[in-house]
Amino acid sequence: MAKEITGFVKLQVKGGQANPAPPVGPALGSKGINIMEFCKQFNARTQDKMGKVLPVLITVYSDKSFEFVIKTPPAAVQLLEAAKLQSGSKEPNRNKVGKVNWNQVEAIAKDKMPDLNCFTLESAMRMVAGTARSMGLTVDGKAPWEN
Amino acid sequence: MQNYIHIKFQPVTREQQEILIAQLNELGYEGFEEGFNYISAYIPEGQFNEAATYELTAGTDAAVSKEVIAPRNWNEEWEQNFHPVIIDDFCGIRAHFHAPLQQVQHEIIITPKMSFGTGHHATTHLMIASMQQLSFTDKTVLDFGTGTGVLAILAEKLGAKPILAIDNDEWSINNAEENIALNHCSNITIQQADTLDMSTEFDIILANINKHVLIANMHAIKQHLTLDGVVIMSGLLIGDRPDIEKSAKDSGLSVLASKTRGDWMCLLLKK
Repeated sequence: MAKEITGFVKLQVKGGQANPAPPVGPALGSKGINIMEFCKQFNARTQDKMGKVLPVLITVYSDKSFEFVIKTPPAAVQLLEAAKLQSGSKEPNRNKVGKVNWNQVEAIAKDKMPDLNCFTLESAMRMVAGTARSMGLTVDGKAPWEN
Repeated sequence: MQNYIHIKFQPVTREQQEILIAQLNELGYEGFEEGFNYISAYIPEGQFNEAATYELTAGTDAAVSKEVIAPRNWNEEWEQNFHPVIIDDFCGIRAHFHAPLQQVQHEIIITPKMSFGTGHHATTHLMIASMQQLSFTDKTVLDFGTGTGVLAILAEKLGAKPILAIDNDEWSINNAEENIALNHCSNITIQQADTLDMSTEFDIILANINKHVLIANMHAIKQHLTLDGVVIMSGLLIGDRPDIEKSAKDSGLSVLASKTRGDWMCLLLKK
């Protein structure tokens, strides 16, 4: 018989650096999961993305076992890295504080394709560019499909 | 051990969640939990910048709440109710609340307090199975990343002395001390450290950590081995093998044997 799922936990933790402190400790410990085992597995599987923020979806079962899926770093995090900014503008559309170009948007869109509900690279790029604009970042130049 | 600050932003849209996480990451927040219309963000108290944090959602509908979280054993619930582990008939690991284990050569009592090493994980299992194949009598041993102290304790039960157990984590240092006392060990010294810079060499080095730390310390591991010394290392995924073997070779170590369990791997190396 399939194991019964008792809950899902969605965290974002730095690659290779999970430890029992918050958020991992309180989020998983209260569900009776062995946090130390989660950290060992997560860190081993993410050590090549050391220090990068990684979304992780943890499925918790009734026998206190768990499984997890690691996603690629969020587009917003990658955009900020691309723009080499300390932070995005808090006033979108009025106070542009940084720039990215379409090559960077394309690279991020390709990286995020598996996690986005997009069937084409163009739609993924449109989503990433939308996030960039919401953060107050300007996307320099013309989109490839406008040429 | 330090306090953490928990900041919760609610309500926020999915897009706001993503942008906030990126911005909070830049402010040094270590981790996040995402919910239906909120995010929780966590940062060590010493790094918390209240003004910069509150500024992120100024002028939006999101309410910001703050909570100070004191250090505690978050793994307590699992630790109160785990099952003993038996590795062949060689070694059994149980908590103080379990009945004594029958028919194992070496019984170890571990009361873990947010420290790694209860035998449940494949890597601890592999380390112990590898230790079974070596003679520890009167051998000097270093347990690098001791966690609960389980491997150091087993080394003493197998006749090793003296044993040095190191870890960089304060919870582990305290917990290893407790477990060493529970098992009446007298040849183990514990030190809080994250690098190998002691002046002694060891006949056997045990290192159940991860690829990144092992590669960073590969040369030091070799330097701290006696001429005929061996090292057992784990915390490694099977896919880590090429990187580890290259690093070992570059440092003058060669692989003698390997074991796998699930996705995990353990290697025995010598100079």
